[in-house]
Amino acid sequence: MTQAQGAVPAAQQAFEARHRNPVNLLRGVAVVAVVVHHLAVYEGSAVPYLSVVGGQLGCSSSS
Amino acid sequence: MQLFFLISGYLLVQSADRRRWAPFLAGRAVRILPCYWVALCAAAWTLGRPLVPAGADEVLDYLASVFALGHLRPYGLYRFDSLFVSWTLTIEWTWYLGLPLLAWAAARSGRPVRFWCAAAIAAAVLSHLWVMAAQAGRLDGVYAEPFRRITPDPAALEALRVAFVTVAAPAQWTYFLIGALMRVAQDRVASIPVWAAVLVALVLLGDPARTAALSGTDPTVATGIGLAGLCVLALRVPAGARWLLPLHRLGDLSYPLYLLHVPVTMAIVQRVAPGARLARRGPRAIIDVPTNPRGDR
Repeated sequence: MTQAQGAVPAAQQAFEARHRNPVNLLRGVAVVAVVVHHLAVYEGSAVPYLSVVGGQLGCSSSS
Repeated sequence: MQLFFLISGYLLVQSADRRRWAPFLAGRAVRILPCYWVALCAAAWTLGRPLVPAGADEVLDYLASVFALGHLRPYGLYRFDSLFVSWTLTIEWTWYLGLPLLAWAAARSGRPVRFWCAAAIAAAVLSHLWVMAAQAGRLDGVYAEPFRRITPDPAALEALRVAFVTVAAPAQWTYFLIGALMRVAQDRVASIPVWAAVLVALVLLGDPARTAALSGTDPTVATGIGLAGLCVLALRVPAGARWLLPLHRLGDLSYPLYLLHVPVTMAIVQRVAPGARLARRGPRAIIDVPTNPRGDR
């Protein structure tokens, strides 16, 4: 096996390790919540539940 | 944002345990600042916002912004923040500064779980009192001069108060401490029934305005407890669930996505619908004031 061929499984292994990490999952949830919340604020609405997780200023009233 | 704070508390508490104060802070700076600088420059250039100070009177504000400390210098954030989420990095810095000291004290105490529990309760009380005082206008004097520098419009005071005082670092420390406590007491957290975590998350996060109204503060400590319930659930998710792969991939990209999503949205709106008036509601001074200095809401 060449070095280049070996690099792909190593990257996959790193991803698999993160994939098993629930904190990485929480990061994904957090960033989705923030982005969705900001898009909703721009649009002039609020997304129940996500607003508190992703609230722009850490306040429910900011949504 | 608060979920990010809780995650930061959860992840860093053991890292601070293992490292001295200076290497810990240097490690955080290396992790955060390079990406922040690239994003800041790209966003400023794209949105046509200032990249450098216009005069000597802006140098301190500029430096605060460069080192992601803009939330301590309201005019600096107003003038130089093109990412519109930089204020949360200032909050993170306050956590990084205090964490090594707390970790040292926890180790000295001999009972780390009890120590972090007491610290979380103290932070919750402090956060609650801070927000109550801010909401009552008792802390308005903290940034009175910078607020006048941003705008002489007294009608903007409430929005500026929320943006810079009500949500300042003391209001947010409770989330970091809850995260840290969850990590230190992870064995006990693992024994929390799933139904209890679901219940806490649903009750406290389901209707944020009601939760805030009931607790009397916004942001509220109750949100941190609800997010802790959410974290307990995430920790129980079976490893390797394929349907969660997209969220894991977003988790990998969370920092650049977080930094850039607001300026990218603004740039797209500017180009696609240059005359469009974005909805402006709530205390959105951090976005509204710099982009709309006349207060045309």
